[in-house]
Amino acid sequence: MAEGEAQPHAGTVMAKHGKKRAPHGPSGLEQPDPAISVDAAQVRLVPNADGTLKLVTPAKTFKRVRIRLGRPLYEPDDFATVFADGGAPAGHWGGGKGWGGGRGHGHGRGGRLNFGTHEVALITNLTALSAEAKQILDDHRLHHDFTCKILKVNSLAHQFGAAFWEVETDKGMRQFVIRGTTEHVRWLDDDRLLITDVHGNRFEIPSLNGLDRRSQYQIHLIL
Amino acid sequence: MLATKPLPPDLESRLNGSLDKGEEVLFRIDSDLATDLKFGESWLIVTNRRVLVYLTVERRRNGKGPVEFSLKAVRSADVMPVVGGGVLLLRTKSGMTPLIYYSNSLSARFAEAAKGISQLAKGKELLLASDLKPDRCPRCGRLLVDPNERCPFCVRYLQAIGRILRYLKPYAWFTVATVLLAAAITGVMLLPPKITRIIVDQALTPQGPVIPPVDERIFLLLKMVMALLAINVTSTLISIYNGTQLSWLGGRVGRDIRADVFQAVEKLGMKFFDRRHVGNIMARIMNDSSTLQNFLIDGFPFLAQNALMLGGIVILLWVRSWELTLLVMLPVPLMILGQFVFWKYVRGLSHKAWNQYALLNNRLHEAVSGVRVVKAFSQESREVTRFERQNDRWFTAQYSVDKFWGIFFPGMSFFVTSGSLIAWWYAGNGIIGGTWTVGQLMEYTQYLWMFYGPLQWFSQINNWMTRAFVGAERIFETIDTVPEAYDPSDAVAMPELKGSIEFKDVTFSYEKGKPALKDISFKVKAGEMIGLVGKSGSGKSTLLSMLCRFYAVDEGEILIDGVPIQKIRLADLRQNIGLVLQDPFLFGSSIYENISYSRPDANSADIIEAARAANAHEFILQKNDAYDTRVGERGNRLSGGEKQRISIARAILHNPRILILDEATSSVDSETESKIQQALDRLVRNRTTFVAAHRLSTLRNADRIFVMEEGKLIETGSHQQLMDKEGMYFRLVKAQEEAWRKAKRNLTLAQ
Repeated sequence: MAEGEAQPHAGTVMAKHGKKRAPHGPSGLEQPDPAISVDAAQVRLVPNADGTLKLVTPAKTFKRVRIRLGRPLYEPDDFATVFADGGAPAGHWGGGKGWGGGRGHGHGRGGRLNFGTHEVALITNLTALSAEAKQILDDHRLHHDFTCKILKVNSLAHQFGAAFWEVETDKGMRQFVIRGTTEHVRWLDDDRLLITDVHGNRFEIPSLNGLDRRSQYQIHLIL
Repeated sequence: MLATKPLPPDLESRLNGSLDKGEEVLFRIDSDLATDLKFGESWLIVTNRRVLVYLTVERRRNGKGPVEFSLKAVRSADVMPVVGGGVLLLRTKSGMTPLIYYSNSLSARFAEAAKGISQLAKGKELLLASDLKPDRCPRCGRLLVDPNERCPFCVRYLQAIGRILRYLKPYAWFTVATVLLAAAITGVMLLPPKITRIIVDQALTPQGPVIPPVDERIFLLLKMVMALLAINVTSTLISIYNGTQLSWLGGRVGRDIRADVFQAVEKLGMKFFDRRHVGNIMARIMNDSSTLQNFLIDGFPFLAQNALMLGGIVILLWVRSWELTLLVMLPVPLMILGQFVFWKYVRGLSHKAWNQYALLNNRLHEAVSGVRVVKAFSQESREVTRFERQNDRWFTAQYSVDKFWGIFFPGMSFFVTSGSLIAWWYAGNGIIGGTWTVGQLMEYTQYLWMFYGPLQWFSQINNWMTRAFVGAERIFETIDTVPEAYDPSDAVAMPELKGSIEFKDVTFSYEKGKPALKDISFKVKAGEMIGLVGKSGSGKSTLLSMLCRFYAVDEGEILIDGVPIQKIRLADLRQNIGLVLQDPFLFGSSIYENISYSRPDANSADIIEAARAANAHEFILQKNDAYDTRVGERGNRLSGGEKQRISIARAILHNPRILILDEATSSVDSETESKIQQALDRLVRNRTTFVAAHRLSTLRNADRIFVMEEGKLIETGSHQQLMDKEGMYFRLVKAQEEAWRKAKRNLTLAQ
């Protein structure tokens, strides 16, 4: 948190470059591959045209990163992981050592198009993000997570071992199918549901009791 | 083509207006996401000169016209999967551009589109997959549960019943006899009310000018009582006989259904199993087939018998008094309507209860099979709480189903009672007025009860049918799921493989748009030993699964001895492939049976030879029952190393031309490892061998080593070649040496 300032992070960064101090986690355990840990209050984000972000921290700047929430379902404000984008070296980290990371092995490995596998930083305490950074992060997340929220169930037919839904969501009307409720419905808590359809599209019901009575009744009949 | 629908007319005219001379549309594809990633529509259109996107990103960018790129400026296109969907990215000289976003429903199509754009950008021929399945039924337009399966709405209900009845076909004569006997019972059961009327009107309370003498009446009474007795005896005997025959018939049919489902399940591709819990598959085989069996034993005969009975009674009631019959029929439509509404709700609720039951089963399965872990971390109470919570959910779900029944039956008997009240009032008036006799009233009310009785129980049929159809749906879904292509019509019989293998641009994904293998190409000579190296999740096991044909390639081709793997008769292929896994699976029988599993006709000498070669013979003989020792469920009475050596013996006995060792020695101690290693060295001789291993020392005898990362083959060569290259393999070896040195140093320090 705030008491950490930039010092402890600077220490871990040094370790990354092979300097004296061995990196340790909060419990004193040696960390295999330490990334910068930074409090959200010290972070500045700038969107890039290619869908990545520029991350500015007191210790260093990463030019092209993608950010992934660590606990998107239960504690979205807990922490986020910053991945170097596969397309180009992120920031000035790297130097060709390690398991790939930003730098490739020559011959056209540049187009590795996923969130990245190399974590370069960890942002903690996301509630402390500035309003501007939060807006940018929300927009970034919107482009990397298409889960929508169900506002109303127009119809829900259970037939032939599958449930056929027609719903109104925060992103508009949608029809989808789930096979068995066992495999496709996850109860996040007693009132909150995450439904994944047969194609892997995701629908959240943030509060079952918050839906209108008819929607609730229809869901009650199968879940 | 890739699009799921025709281009909207206004867009088509805009597009045509913007095409230059000589420019033609090569392919187009629609996305289901529009501006701001909301559900809507946007189009990606690729011509021989440009890549255009209408409606999505354009508004965000400049508000006018489509986003467009000259094909000359494009280097390649790729898809990036995101949570619940993906984005097609265009790589140009100036960098990367997210071009169009889409939901997961369209991932496969957009992956093809990206491939197509890349082909065009690189000046190659445009080759797009033509076998993309629609996600909606072409007939009714409804969403399909699985694009590879038939639309369930377009399967006719009668057909489903027909399919259930088809199970009775082998026992057709038997079934007909049973039905005829049931009809006979029905006929016999219709007689007692008639006799009651005769007893009351002629023997007990005769009316009219001439009353017969007492002894004549007593004799009539005696005759009627004897008739009732005869009816009773006949119907009891027929019932006993029919009941036992039905149990036999039902049992046989149940057996046939279970066999069919199990056979279907065993032949399904690995993808079916990847998607489902073991508990669910088990419930399908066991519960659904017994529900269907129960319907056939109890429900169906009940339905047939009572339909006959109802028909008979209606005729008899009508003959007695059609006016009264119309009156007493008044509650019938209400009863039927009630049942219809009831059907609808109870259906969903039963599904819900079934699902909760399956979840409870899964929980139990997990807790019992993971009991070591539970105990090791002393989490027993947590497991108990989790079980209780699910137990509670099942109770609630099951209770809501049962509650429905609890409301339903009293409701039905209310209607029944009101019907008989009408009869009492109407016929009672008739008796007082002299148009009805007491015997006629008694006859009538008896028929009435017989009529309402089954009608009330028709809801039970309803219940049986609901459950049976839900079960049947699941059973037929399983049976209808396209099985592994065992033998395509042009399958090649190859009982003896040589063992040369070629991968040509093989791409495969478990989930659409997220390839686990990307463009893998290599050639392996017969008898060569290949080491596979890479981090967990780099695609090693997937590559090995492809060799076993557990999955079909999405793109590219795998050739064995020059023949495409899909064309080889599956039995021949598997006969020639031996598999040793990290966590070997043994069946809960004896060691002997487990070794001979791969070749059931092997004799003791073969078994001992295999066990010796696997360094297993000695430890087996240390056991109380030697080769007859039971290994316990999944082999849990043996140590990891012992299980592994038995699985190696099994593979040796199989004597395959192609051998696959997937992390076979990674979970055992080093002494056991050296024993296993010796066994493996014997096993790999003269076979094409693939060895996936974390411990690089295991691969010292490999002819070549393949290094994999993120589904791609990034380095190949001998150990020395790769070390000289100082690439990924070199770094891996150095890292392991470093770790080994560290461990040794720590050990020395500790000593």
